[in-house]
Amino acid sequence: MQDPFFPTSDASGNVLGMDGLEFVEFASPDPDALGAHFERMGFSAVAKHRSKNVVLYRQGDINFLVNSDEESFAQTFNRTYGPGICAIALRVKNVASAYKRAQAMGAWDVPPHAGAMELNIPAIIGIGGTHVYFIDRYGDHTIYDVDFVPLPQTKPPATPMGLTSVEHVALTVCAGREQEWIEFHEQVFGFRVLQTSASGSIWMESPCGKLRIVLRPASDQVREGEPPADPLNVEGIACIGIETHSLADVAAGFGETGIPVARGPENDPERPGVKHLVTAPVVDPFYFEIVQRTE
Amino acid sequence: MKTHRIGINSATLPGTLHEKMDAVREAGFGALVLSAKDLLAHPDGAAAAARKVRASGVRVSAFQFLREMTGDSDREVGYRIDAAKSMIELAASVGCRLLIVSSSTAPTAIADPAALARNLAVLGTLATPYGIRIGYEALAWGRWVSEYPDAWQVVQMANRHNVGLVIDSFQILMRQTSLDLLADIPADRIFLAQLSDCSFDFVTEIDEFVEISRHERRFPGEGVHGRLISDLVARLRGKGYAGDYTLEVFNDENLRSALPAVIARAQASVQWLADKVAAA
Repeated sequence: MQDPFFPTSDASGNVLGMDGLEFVEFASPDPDALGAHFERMGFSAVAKHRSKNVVLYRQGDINFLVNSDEESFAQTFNRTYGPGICAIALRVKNVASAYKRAQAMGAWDVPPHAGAMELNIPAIIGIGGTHVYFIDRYGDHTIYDVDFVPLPQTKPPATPMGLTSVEHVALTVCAGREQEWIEFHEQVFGFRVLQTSASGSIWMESPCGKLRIVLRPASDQVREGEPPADPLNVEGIACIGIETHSLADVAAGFGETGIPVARGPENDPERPGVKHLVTAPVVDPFYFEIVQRTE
Repeated sequence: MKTHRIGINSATLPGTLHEKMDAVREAGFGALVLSAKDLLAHPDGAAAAARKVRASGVRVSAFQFLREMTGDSDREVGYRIDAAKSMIELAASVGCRLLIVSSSTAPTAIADPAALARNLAVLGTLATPYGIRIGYEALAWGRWVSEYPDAWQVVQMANRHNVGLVIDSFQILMRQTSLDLLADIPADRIFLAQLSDCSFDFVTEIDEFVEISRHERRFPGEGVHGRLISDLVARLRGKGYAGDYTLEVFNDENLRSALPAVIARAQASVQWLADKVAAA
């Protein structure tokens, strides 16, 4: 959605040189179950980290990392907040300048902990203690070339289901904190508000136009007289929205491989011109939204 | 005016952190305002002190002291951001949701309100993941920002949901700032109201502001500016202010007194306030 008055270009707000999303990292105590779940969604395990217990699952332009390394941030996250999406990686034109700019705008840096011969991937703190990595090696030369080795293909790859890219990332925010997170994403990344749905979901788009986030207030209401919950325990990344060109094919494919669907396929009640379906969690708490633009 | 709406600043009271928490809870005060020193100087270390504060059940309504950024060199900005991060982590460790940032008194203080506002917005971003708000306070001896209307201008320009204003009766009476300007400030943009009095009608030298502020403040009702304080509280209530009040009385004599005696005077001060507000 292009705003005629504020065209998305580097000159008008793409402060970090953002260029879409590189990967999503999952923290799960049962990586095998999560991996099997991804395969039933049409992802294939294509590579493994050189020194860490991290597996890369891929479909289309989507990279999912399942990190079960005991020493990793993912498992620390898992022990602190429970299983969840612990990190996303953003593609940027230049990591060094993006990282410096983000910190100058008030983002917290994450102390680096790369192993020998590994890339140091800088990260800042996002919502709910998640990490947001910055990556400028994408396209022809990727981080996977350096840090990952291809997995031997001992079984036929999963049949892709036509999932093409990460369309949005859904964030859970404490009720009443929506405005603070809008401003955080405006100031650090240059995201802009697209619309607020009738149900109170706030959609924002990255200045590169390639990624959206949606802020949804948590349903738990604070009781009168009780101290408010620690936001770090309530907030976080709730789910990933994945784009497809044929929602009907995805729904049929999910039916064949046994991926349960909680809602849809239907018109997205939050966004006109979008059809979607929402999966039910198989490996708790992970679920996905699959979207198709119809306009 | 109920005691549970009123907190008390830790530096107002003599004794150890533990003694203060017990006394505050038993006297029915709603909250304690802590300084970094309360945790960092604790004999068992800051982390142990923070655990004790959380276990005590005493709410920490605000945390201090962070001075606003001065200068704009990378070194200065980096240093100030690191200082802010430490303060935010300490505040979060005791479950506190408000960090007070005071205007700069340094000769290198930034004069440009737009630059001050940008720096406040950066603090607002830093504080967001922890759910902490930034309360900006004008110190009477601030180099450029010395009265609450100046601070309000900067807060407005920062234009951040989690950046608001701290109102302090002592700073107002030092500068003899008109309370009429409060009418322009929405109640929900005021994050904290700090109350203390002083024994002098007029103080003319800036050096004396500092001296009196740090060593000779009085509880509301004990000084000569009772009318201003009760007027301030009445105006805040009148406009629907729903935030915390804090007794912030830095006074050397109090620190040399017995804790129960100081607590009793703090309670008497709350009663005085309640009577004034009821009569208004």
